[in-house]
Amino acid sequence: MSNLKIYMIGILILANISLSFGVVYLEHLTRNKYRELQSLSNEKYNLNIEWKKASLEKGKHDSLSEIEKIAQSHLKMIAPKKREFININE
Amino acid sequence: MNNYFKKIRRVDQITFFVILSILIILLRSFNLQFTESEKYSSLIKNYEIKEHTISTSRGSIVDRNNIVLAESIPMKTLIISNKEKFLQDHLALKKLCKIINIDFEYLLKIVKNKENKRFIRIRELRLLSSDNINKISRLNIKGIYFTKEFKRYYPEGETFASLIGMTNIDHIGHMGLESSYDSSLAGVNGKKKVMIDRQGTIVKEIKELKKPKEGSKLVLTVDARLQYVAYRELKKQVRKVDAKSGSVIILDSTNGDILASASYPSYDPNDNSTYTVEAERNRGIIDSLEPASTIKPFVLTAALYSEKVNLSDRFNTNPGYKKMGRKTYRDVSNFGELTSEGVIIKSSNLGSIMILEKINKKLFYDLLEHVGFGEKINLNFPSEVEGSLPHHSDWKKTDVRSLAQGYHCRVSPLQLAKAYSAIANNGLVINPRLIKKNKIDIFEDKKYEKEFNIVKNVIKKVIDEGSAQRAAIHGYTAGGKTGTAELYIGGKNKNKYSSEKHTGLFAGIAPLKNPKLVIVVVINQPSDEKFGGVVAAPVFKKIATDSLRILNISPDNIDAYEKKVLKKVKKQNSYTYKNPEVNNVF
Repeated sequence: MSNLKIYMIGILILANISLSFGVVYLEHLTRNKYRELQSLSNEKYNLNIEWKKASLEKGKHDSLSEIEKIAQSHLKMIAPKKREFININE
Repeated sequence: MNNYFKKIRRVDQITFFVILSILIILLRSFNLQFTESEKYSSLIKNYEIKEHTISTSRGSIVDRNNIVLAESIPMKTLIISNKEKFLQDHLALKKLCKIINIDFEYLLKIVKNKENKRFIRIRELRLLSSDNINKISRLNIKGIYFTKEFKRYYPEGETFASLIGMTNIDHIGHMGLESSYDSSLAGVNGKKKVMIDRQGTIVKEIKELKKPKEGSKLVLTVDARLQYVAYRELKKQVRKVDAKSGSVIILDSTNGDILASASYPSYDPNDNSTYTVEAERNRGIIDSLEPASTIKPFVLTAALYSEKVNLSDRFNTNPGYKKMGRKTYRDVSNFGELTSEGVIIKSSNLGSIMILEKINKKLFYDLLEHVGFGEKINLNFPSEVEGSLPHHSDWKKTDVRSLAQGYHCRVSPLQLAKAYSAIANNGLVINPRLIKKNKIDIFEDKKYEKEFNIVKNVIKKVIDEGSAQRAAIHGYTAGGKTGTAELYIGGKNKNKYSSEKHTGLFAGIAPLKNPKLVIVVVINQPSDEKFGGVVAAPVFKKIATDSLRILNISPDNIDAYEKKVLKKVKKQNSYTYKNPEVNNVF
């Protein structure tokens, strides 16, 4: 067996071992990152739900029916009579 | 010699390291396999490979301005996984019944009855509020767990109920648009094979088994503000005139967008107890009715197109009734001699019959077909009605007379709105659409352009000086036609129409100079008054006034009174500009 071959085998074995360690390490790293991704996805999902709830609440508060109800009950506003309207044509 | 030793040394060194590495690996393997095997086998038990469902939520429904009309929010549902353990602690169960407001004996009965089921789901324990979940969790009941389910919310409540419909407890659409667009709204849950740790956290995704598909968002052409105004005014009027029901359609005549489709009675889709079959109906789309006098502008259009009648032709309706064949036809009162224009303004049945009898019936049939009578709009709405328009070859003399008064054919209020939008657009027919992404469907045929332009001015006079003066909108030009249809009661009875039950109609266009809105109001079986000009026209006025203001459309008919007021105010130099948007809200 030539020296070159021996060197090559040695290098390959070393590479093999280091790759094995690499694979194990990367697997560990992947799991950690995946865990992180999962928690971020959950956070995104929860925020999305919060946003949906908020938009529902907003929809309720800025609907004409709600505005009208508050205007009439809290602010005591009334609809002006026909004679009180002034239309302006610009 | 030295080189030889050096070589030997290098080879030995490499061999030594390789052997050493292999020994270390072997030793570590031995160590893992035999010495620490228990520790690692218990660790691997912490991980589990499972099929995980990727849940998707049902798509939301929004109006043209992105206002949420239906949205799904995840809630928790209690599942009983171990019946024996669940039934052990009666004290806790009694507390649970108190929280969810059900009878203890009833709960026991339900649970015991479900003998063959491994997992028990009870209706009352589904979609629990977070408050109740916290209270139930504190009870420490054994043999239960919580799972995620979605609840559909409808923030606009009864205003939109007949249009949007609702979902059942299993989140499947079973009415209105929720039903017809269920497949695209629902989405598809995905599945993947995953590795989870003891805490239930997914640590590794092994394989995707089924790709998830989120429910798509449905954007409607409807404007929530106009829908509310339409519903509010309709509800008020139906109650005021003690009618059975009513409907309103608001159509954007420029592009066929349905801006509102309100129906009364209605129900609150957030509260199942308010639901009734009657309240479910979207009367503007699924009910068909005889258009009565609202058909008369089309009679005049066909007559003008035939060139056998012009606006100044006179028709003698004296003394207000006339026997034709076996039947006597009547007007509301004796209108005497009327021009063809006057026939529409006064809404004379006799005049309309005389006009229609002068022209070829095929011409009238072609016109009605052109504006969409008897043709389904295809909105993809459940039970959408097609209406009916018998072929002209089947028309007998009595049928022609009935058609001249708006009987012997049936249309939905939406089809009537489509026909009136053809008047607004001088003959251009645009098919109404309810979903924003659907393309605008315009039927480009200016066959009746000249005639519709004339008729547009005639229906303006109906409001200015005719039967629909209660529909006049302050500051805007408007045109429209009233209708009062006797209710068809059918059967073998010779008198197929009720003289007591009526439907009041009004179909109008505003503003008339530059048309934007076509509004159709239908009031079914009012008790106090029967005429469309009394029961339906005022609703048109109120809805159009508010809608035009909401849409920021400037008034196009400032009358002399207002000009006088403005002049006076300016003279006094005390005029302050008030934004009509703010001041005219209520």
